Amino acid sequence: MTKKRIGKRLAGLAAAGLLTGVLSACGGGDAGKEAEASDPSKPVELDWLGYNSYAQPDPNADIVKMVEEKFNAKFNIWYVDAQQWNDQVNVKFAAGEIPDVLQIREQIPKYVANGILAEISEDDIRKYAPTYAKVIDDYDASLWNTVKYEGKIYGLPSINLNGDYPQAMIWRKDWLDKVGIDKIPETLDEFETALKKFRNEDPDGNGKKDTYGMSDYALRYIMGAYGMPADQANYVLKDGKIEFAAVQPEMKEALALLNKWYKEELIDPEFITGENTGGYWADSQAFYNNRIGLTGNGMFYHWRNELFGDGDEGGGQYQNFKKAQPDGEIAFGVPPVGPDGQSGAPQWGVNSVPLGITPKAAEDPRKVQTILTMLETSFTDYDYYTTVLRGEEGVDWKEETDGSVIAIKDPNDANASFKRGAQVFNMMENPEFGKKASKQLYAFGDSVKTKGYPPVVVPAVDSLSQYSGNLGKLQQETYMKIIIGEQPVDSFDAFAKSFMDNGGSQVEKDVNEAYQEMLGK
Amino acid sequence: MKIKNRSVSDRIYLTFVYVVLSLLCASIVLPMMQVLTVSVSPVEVINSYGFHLFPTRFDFSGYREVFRNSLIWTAYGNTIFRTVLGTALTVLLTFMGAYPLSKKSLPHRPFWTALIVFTMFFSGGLIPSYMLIKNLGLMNSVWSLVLPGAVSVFLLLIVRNFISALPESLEESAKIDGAGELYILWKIIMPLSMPILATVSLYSAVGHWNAWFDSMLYIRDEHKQVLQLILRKIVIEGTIDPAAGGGTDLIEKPVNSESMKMATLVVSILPIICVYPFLQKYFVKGTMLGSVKG
Amino acid sequence: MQRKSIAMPGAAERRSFPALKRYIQHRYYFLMLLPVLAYFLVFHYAPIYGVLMAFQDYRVFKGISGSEFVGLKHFRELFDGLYFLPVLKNTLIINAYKIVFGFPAPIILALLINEVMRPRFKKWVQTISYLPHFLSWIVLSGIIIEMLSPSRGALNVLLMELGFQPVYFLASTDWFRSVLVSTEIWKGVGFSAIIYLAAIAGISPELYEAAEVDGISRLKKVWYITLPSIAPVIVIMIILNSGSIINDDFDQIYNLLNTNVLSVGDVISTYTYTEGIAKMNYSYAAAVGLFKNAIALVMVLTANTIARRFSDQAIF
Repeated sequence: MTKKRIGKRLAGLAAAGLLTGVLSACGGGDAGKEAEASDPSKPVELDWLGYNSYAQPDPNADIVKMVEEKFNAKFNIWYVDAQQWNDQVNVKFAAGEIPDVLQIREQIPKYVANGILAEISEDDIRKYAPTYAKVIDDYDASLWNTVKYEGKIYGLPSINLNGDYPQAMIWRKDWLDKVGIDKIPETLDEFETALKKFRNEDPDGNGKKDTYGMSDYALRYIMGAYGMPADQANYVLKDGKIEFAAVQPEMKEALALLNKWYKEELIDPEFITGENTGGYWADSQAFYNNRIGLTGNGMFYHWRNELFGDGDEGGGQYQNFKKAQPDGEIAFGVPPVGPDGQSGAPQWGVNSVPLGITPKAAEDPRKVQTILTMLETSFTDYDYYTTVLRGEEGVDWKEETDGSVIAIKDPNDANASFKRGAQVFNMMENPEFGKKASKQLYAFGDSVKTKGYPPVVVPAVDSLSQYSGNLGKLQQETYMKIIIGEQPVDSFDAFAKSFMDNGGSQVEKDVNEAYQEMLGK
Repeated sequence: MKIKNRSVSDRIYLTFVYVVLSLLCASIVLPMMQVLTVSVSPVEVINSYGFHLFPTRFDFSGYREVFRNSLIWTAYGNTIFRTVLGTALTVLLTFMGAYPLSKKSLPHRPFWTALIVFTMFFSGGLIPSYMLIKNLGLMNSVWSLVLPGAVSVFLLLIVRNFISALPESLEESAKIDGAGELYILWKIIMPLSMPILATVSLYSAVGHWNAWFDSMLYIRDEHKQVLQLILRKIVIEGTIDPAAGGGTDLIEKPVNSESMKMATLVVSILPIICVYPFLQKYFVKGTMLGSVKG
Repeated sequence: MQRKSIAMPGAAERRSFPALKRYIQHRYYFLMLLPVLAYFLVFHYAPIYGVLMAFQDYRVFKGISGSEFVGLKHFRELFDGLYFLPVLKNTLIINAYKIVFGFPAPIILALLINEVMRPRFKKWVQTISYLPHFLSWIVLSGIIIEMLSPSRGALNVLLMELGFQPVYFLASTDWFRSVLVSTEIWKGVGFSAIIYLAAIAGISPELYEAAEVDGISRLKKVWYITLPSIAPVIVIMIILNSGSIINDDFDQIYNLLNTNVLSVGDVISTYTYTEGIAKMNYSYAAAVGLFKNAIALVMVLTANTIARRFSDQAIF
């Protein structure tokens, strides 16, 4: 019975789409292009790799059929192990097996050099996917720069909604209370006071001096108080010029402070092997086990401590924390404000995996058109988007009264929804629809949102991929040694010079040229 | 045994032997117990510091997650099939290569050996191999999993040296008795080589059991994929990285990934561990030799 | 190699068509060898043209036949890297330790197991000792980090009980390599010992019986009977292992490495991995592979030459 209803619903979605298909076909290109296009009466055939494959979708699944019908297409869905994506796909590419659409998980210059990506004309994007293009423009127009190489667009940028939120800094609220601090620390001085008390006043009350202030996850917030969370080879924008964050003089001050804190035992000496000693990356065993009172590698949804009604136990890491310390409490913190009034948390940035079209597909304008139309539909049709992302309503998910979407877990088969074709055709995340489906969660996220430092978006340059490994290593090694006092703080200057001499200057020069060129356009 | 005959030095030596072996076993059993315990424990136990040698509280959600995957049983079947087929093939071919090369009288023996050993050091890499499998039409078939690694140079050389170390007198006396080459091979060399062939089987079976990369590369059909690949997927699903995008509610409540990982491990290694005791009888000193002579 | 002629009777007959005649004599052996040679030709020699990629700027859409040759460019890129020489040094040092300490370990284990007279204990030891082979480094690294933790790890608790200062093994440049070597031995010793156990099982009991009559001690039996009898297997293992001087264990080192010990622990595979250039850069990856294989080949040939001089058990 339910089955029938769903079938109908999907049929409805398909029919609504046929119209779009026809319309876009009418608007389709000039005469010259039309000549190369495949026979429009037949479905356009697409080798599809524009998704993350967690399980093999059934080619005859209702959702696949619906999308095929809607766009007059026939899909050959590739199935590639999600984690070994590069290994597997690169071998297939090298053997000449190339899809029509793919997620771009490598640096664009490399794909372009290997003939995997075709240029996508901006006119086509604006013509066939105007809503999508506008969403990108409005959200962060610099996203277009991430997919450009030598001035041409080689991919369709995508938005990671969560990247709009800085990472969450989490305090042990019950520890703060215990040591008599009733205000969440906001400045570096207040941080230092709190961390000192955590170290010296036995906040866990076990009678032993076995607690510390923080470990490795909070380091980058402290650097944030000095203008940037320098890590590896990331950039910072200074007076319109792109520079490496790692060598900025402010970082010397940050390291001096961290070194002082380390000497005062505010930083867990075991931060070298990390506060996460296994499991999910956002977990902090040191935090769960009363070793430190400040952490911060997770997101608001990992640590959500506001419960949404019956049976809700909060975010995953909050749950883990509560299970380990049932009487413990957490509070969302704010990144500390530094001497010059700067502050900010690390942030992923909204830039997510772009979608590319291969030269094989670009030969046939109808393919490009279909791909862009599908993308557009993901940005205009909420019902369609929810279906292709989450699966069938009533089977894979249900809607709450407030419009929130709740996934239904299949007790017998973890991959059921993927097999039914969910997460294959949504192509990329739609931030507006995502917020709509998880209203409460994002309302909570907005309520604890702090200031962050999203990565500086710049065009990719060859020299970076050549030097980034060495430079990142040099940065990490030096920072670590300065913090633990194996190297004097003043050795920072020598490090900065070595960093620039061993590729840093070259990359800065290249990236600034590319950046100016990009701005000039 | 003849306990009274033991000298003092023998006794010290034996004590040393037992102590060292017991320590080694203890150092192995403890982490294994931790693996087992974590696989059946709830998250608060796993996240607490220290060793977890005995389960204090039980939570089988890790195993439940693993067996919630509908493909797991076909994958088990596929793995067993490839392991049996692959091991049989490897033992056969390795022996067929090792025996002639163990004959010192074989003309140009160093050349033929070098021809084989050379492949240990120069390989064309993944891409030409992939094309080869494709051109041979082996894609998506079990042959793509068993043929490319059918002979290991390493094992072949071990077998060859093992055979050449067998006492030549046995073979010679058989020849004097008028035994043919085939008889010698089948009735003398083969039985005497059982320990090393058991080793080859074990190494090959373990290799096949643990392999997943080839299946990922060559097998397109999910129903033909091997256990390790399916298990890897299960583990990955438990730890989907939100940085790569995807709906938030999918990752907001991560499955208890550690217990799942350990459950996966237990599920994947238990059957192959059980193989060893069956091969052990071939490692008992001199048994085979006695039976041949008797 | 001079020994070959000794094995062949009838020197006068050989003069006419010596080689052919010997091939005919050994035709059944070659018949047996044929499928194996065919296997190597198809699955190993046919794809070998792939090494050309190391000398090209390989481009997917051009293939090996169409890509541009660039000579030693990728090798130069590899050697010119800021960290390559230290990394090469680390690789060689760590592997040298692994070979020196790791090579005898399984032999000793096999000998010890062989001494055990209680069959049940023997079975248990054998089965248990081969278990760690099945644990991946990602699982083990968690256990190792916990065990070596300076504040709560079992080893450091023991050290403190004995009145020593705790050691942060994983973050100490003095200790990190020792951790790598000992954990590697621990993980692989039981599995590798199986080869030696098999070799020991092949020893004729008569030898021991004769020794029994002479009343020789157990230790002497090991020295004068067991070890010489398994020498052929040991020699071949030495030769083959010598090639592993350049092949580091990526999974182990990657999972245990941290920033503080990069200077002593970063090896070729972790280096090329973090460099990020091995991905999609087919030619660079091929060059790294070729470089490593060339070194391994030189090592094996050297070891083989030495082995041939001192024993008759060399590979060729």
